[in-house]
Amino acid sequence: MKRSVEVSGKTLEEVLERASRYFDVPKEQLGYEILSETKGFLSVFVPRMVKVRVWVKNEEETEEVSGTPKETREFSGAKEAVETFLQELIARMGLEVTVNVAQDDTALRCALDGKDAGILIGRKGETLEALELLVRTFLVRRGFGEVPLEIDVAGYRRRKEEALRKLAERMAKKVVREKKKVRLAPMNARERRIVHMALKDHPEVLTYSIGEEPNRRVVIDLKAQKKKSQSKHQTQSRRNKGGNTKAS
Amino acid sequence: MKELLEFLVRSLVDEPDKVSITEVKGERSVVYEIRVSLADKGKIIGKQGRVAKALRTIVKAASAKSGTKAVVEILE
Repeated sequence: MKRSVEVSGKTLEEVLERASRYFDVPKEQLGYEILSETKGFLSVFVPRMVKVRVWVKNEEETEEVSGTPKETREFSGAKEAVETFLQELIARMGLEVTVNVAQDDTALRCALDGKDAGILIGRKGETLEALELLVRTFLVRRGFGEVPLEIDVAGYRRRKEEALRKLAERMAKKVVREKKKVRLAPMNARERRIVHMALKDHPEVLTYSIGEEPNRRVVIDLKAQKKKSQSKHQTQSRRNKGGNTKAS
Repeated sequence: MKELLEFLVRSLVDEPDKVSITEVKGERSVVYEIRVSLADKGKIIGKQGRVAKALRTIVKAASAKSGTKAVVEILE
């Protein structure tokens, strides 16, 4: 049975504040249900009132709602789980590769390297892709959910990302120069995302994807308004400044 | 190789005790037959066979080192 009280006040926040003092628990641990609410929309003179039933959540409920501390705990558990999983996997593959898992603010970063790094990367990185899918699936199956994860073997992905960003820049220049859209080669979602991100703040081009997996590809095109009002004058200024130019 | 598959498959299912893998040796290749509980079958195949494909890719990479061709089959 839940212990609950009915409280009313001017705002929900005020009510919860008082309830938290009453129960002597932090506000995050309170559950509530709004019973009635008068809003000051129609009549300015009627004071706003809110009547709320408040109770203290039991432990499971608290965990469910205040997700942040729980997430952090699970996250750190995930680090050990990933580390063990990768080490055991690589040992059973008979490869000489070291595993280093570090956790920062945004993701679990797994850096693998060693004599057999090439085998673990595979042709066009396909073994690395498979490895990552299996790690993610493992984490979901073991109840860690979708943990932000980055796996790299011998800096392969870092180099590839860099190459993709350079390609994106080069192709954007080509689009601006030739005023013609460019379709890139088919790429997977991760690679397309890198291209989109690399050009998202570009003043003159925009990017989108066309086609279906696995042949989905990025298109780099001129931004619409630039395309509509192409005049010699604009082209000239664009060459000089590469930015906003006023027509007329 | 069998240990590798056993480890991987057990890591991906809900009922690891029901995983069994048999090794069928051929002349130039080895076939690994995976059996799991019915409920887990979909889990090791995955959406559009993604998990199964990843399993095969990893096994292929590992067999590159050992030199034998390994084939992975998922059975009823």
